[in-house]
Amino acid sequence: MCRKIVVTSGKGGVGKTTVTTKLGINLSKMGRKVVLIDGDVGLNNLDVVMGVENKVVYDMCDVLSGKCRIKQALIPDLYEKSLFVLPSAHAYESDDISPQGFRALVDALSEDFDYIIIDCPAGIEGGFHRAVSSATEALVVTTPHISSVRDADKVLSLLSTYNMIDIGLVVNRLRGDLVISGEMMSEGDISRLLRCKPMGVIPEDDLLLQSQADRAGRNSGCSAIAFNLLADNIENGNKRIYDCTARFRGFFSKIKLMMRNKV
Amino acid sequence: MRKAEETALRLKKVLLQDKLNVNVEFMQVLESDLYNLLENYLALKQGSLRIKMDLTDSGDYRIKITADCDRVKNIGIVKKI
Repeated sequence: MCRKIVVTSGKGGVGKTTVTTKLGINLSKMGRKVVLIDGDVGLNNLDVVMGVENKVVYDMCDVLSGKCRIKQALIPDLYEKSLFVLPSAHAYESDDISPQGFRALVDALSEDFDYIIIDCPAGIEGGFHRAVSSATEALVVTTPHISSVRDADKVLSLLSTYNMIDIGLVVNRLRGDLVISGEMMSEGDISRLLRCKPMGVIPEDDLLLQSQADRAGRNSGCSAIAFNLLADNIENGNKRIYDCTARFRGFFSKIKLMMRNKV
Repeated sequence: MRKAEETALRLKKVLLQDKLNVNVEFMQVLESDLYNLLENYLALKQGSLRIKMDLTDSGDYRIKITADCDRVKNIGIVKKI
């Protein structure tokens, strides 16, 4: 049975699109057939992050207006055979897509795919409700900053009004060195405050930014391991969370931290 | 206190404050429905029903309902044979 997961956050810029793409890549590497849908109409970027912006011929809005079939709008990933992207339109506005039309599109795709991952737009307006009402599971992405956690709390209370099978928390851009030195909240602190179980923890990783900049779409940093664990948790129901503090607990790491605090 | 603990405490206060801002219409509907329910059993004094909503430290809502009534209504209860 197809699993429809919406990746949302409330606050913009916390890493929804990154989590959507990396999760999709890792699930497809596990042999699953995955489609990523860009739920943001007007400010869409999923095609750019996936590196397929030059391959867009039709988009979601063309499908919903009857200009093409769904399969004509699906773009295969550059590296994974079982991963596809359904891009959104840049020229349209969010109100041009009805929730019923979007849900019908998602239901039609559910017959051919194991996973449908919807990249939800930022905010809690029409686009958010359109994306959330089409999904059965949700991943709420937050960073360890007050404004982001506050918005995630608002999103979680809105999600409770929908019939979600499962809601999980993804803490993104966590700095293990700052958690150890007591300057940043840990994923446990955030999970307790939001009263939502953590599904994944993604460390701050410069290699991730570089991989997006050169459109390779692949990275090999510590975040790659974290995304792999996240995908494994979702696919197999495990509860393994990446430990961002592990590489900062050695003897030389402690000396580095002491030196940094003294400078 | 470490900065992370201060941030967590500050965030907790912010989240609790957000939760306390319940919609006015929600409270009105709740009051109206409760009044109708209690009127089935008690002769309530007009305007005496009060609903107070607070938050506990753990973030749960604590609801206190107070009302004054003149008498208990005589409702027949059918016993099981």
